[in-house]
Amino acid sequence: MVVGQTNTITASPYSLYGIGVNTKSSIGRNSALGGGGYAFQTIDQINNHNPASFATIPDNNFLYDFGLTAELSSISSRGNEEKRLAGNISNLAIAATTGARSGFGLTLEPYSDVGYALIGVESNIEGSYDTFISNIFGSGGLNDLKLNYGYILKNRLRVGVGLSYIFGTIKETQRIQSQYNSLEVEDKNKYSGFRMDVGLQGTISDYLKFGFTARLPTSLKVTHDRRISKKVSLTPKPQVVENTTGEHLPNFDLPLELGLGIVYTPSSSWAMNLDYSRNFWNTTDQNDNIGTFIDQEIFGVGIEYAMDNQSINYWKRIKFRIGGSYDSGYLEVYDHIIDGYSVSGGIGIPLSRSSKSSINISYGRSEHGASQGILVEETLNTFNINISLVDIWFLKRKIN
Amino acid sequence: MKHLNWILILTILFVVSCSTEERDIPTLEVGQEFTDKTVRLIEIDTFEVRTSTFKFDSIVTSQGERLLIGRYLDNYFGTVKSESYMELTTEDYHVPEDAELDSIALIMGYDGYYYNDTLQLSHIQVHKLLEDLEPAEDNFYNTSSLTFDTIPLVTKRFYPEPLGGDSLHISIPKSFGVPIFELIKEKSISDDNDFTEQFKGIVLRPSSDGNSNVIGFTNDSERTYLRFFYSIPEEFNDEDEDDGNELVLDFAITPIYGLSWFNRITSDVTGLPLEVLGDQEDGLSSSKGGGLTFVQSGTGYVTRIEFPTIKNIGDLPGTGTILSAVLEMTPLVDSYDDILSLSDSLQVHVVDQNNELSPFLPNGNGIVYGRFGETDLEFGEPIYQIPVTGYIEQELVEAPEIDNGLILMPNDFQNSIDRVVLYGAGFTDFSPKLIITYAIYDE
Repeated sequence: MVVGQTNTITASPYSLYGIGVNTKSSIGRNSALGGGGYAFQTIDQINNHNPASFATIPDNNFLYDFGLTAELSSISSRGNEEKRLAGNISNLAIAATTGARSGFGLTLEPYSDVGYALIGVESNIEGSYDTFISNIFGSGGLNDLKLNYGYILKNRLRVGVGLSYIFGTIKETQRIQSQYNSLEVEDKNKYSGFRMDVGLQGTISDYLKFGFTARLPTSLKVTHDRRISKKVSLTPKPQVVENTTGEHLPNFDLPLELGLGIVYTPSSSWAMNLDYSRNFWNTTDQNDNIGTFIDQEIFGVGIEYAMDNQSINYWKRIKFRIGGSYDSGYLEVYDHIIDGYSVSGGIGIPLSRSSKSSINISYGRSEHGASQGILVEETLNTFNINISLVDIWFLKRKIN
Repeated sequence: MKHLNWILILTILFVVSCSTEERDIPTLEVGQEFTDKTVRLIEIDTFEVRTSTFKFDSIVTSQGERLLIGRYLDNYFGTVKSESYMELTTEDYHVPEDAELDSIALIMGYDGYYYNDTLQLSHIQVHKLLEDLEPAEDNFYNTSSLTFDTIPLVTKRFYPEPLGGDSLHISIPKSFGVPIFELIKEKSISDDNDFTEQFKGIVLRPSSDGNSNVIGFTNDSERTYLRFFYSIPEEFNDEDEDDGNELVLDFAITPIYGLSWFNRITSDVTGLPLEVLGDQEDGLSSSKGGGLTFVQSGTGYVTRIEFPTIKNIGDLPGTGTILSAVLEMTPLVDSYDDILSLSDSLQVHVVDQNNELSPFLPNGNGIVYGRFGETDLEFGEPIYQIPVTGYIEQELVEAPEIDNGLILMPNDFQNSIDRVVLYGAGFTDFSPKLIITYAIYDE
């Protein structure tokens, strides 16, 4: 069984809430282009944002995508600053045709990340002048294993459907120290659930294509394990106070997410994409700790340039990309809505003269949060390296 | 496919650097407002502490290394007295036939222990034992006694020097030792059995009106012994100097056969609150003891503590667990000083409803000690702090009928005469407090 990513990549304290922060890495070229791509088709690179994109995989093509992300984060709050570097596999994906008019894809991506450590939180012992120290750690995240199927409905219209299995474990450990005694509370929440999305892509003209997706709302089942142990007066081994497993918690709702994008290709050198999505958190009516989940809007724009995309010349096929995005945030904390924006850039390098495979490298810088007052500002520098492999089946076998 | 090599290389490279452990995650000192702490700690000091005193029927006082001798008058414990009974033997019962006994001395090595006023003139009387040093029961206790010759061999008057001096030197009349010496010379006494038949041992006692102190002497044969000084007259004695070989024959406590000494430690508490204690089961509650509880080594008084309302901790809202439970007790102000010194630590044991020692250890890990030294927050008086977490947790799961208690006793309970007077539950100001730190993790 696929385990998915088990390591934390985000060091964001905002990942304290809910199921964590949405991951910023993505498959193929998308990370350099503002993270969007509802209108991109899967031709030489897998586009996971829209299941309808899998309809146009060329005959006999088999695509692989394998991505790695490294994140250098700098987090500041009230003058304190911390820097961290973390790395992870960002995705695994394959896609292939299933006929002249259809294609499928199987992708595994992180869906959200949790990674935080709050050290030295001092609280009062009620009824005394003494204080105690809490250290709180969070790790884990959710993964999205998705099966996509796309179908060419009409000449200029493609539809698709995707079925996701969203799963993962988020662990929070609280350690309390008071004189020589300590208490540890470890909570593990295991999430699982299915989610469906539908997609539509259309060609308006030779230069303009559009895409639309709807990720349907779903409820993730949550089971809870809790283990509490304590060490009193320097005893060597901790004493287990409570150990419960498999408790059912209320489901965690994922909202309806609608996405709309267009891509404009005036020539074989230029492509520009605009994407918009809205996640309807309000209707899920959820809140967590001190934040409320509110409707979230994401805007993205990207431009890609290659000297000549169709050229046989290797150098003319190198693509240059630039993009930006703005996320209005899904969290409202103390009347502050935590929004963020990012800019990115990258290149796509063909792997060889003859094949369509390429390596995509991108760098993005995003900022998040607010530093005045109590909130934390984070600056993330994300590097993505991603290999898109296009293999031509059957044809190869013939030659052999 | 050649691309497979790329995949493999890059996978290996990055998977290796993949795991971010918890400590790699940025750590920020963020304030309370950023977390939703689910655990809170509360401190409770309102559980009832019930205190009383009882006296062990008897305690073993024939183990250890200290002979305790002395007598003094105590405000709370009355007339406190200790006597030492001992059997003396030697290794080699050999004395040359022409030897002559010169003198006898009893050397008592101080072991540094003293209680009460050493500036007072003290007396030690040395008596001959008339009975074999054999216990009536399986052991010797502080209440054991044997018959001895009421007329002492000698009474020594001295000012004790337990810290400065090395040993106390008591001259014994030669007349006492001559018959024995002759028997040894004749070889009528050639082993321990022969010897102890003639000489059962000695008792060292304070004078019957003494009010000075109690002193500790070691029972180590290197430092405490009965020494017969003898010499062999020389055939030729050119000089007039007393040059003859000064030979010695030492008799000491040698516990080869087990019991060969014990301390008899008693007190007379007539007219004092402790008078009411007859059996071990009897208790003197602090409300009847002038609001005080008592502890005394040697005689066997201990303070007993109960927490009758502790089970009410279950009434607290939410689910939680005890993180620490400390009992604070204050010694009576002005009841201790340099000469009536206070123990730095007290041992904690569990007793059952009849005041018998229970095998249960309050901690499960070894002996629990209450430490003296910290001052209490309210009055600034130095207190004993006694960790009782293990005991309280046990109490919470026990059936309600079981009526255990905790007792406090000084270290060296069997070999000293240390006293502790504590404020009991009757007093309003310095009464004992049970301070519990409780963690609530589920509201």
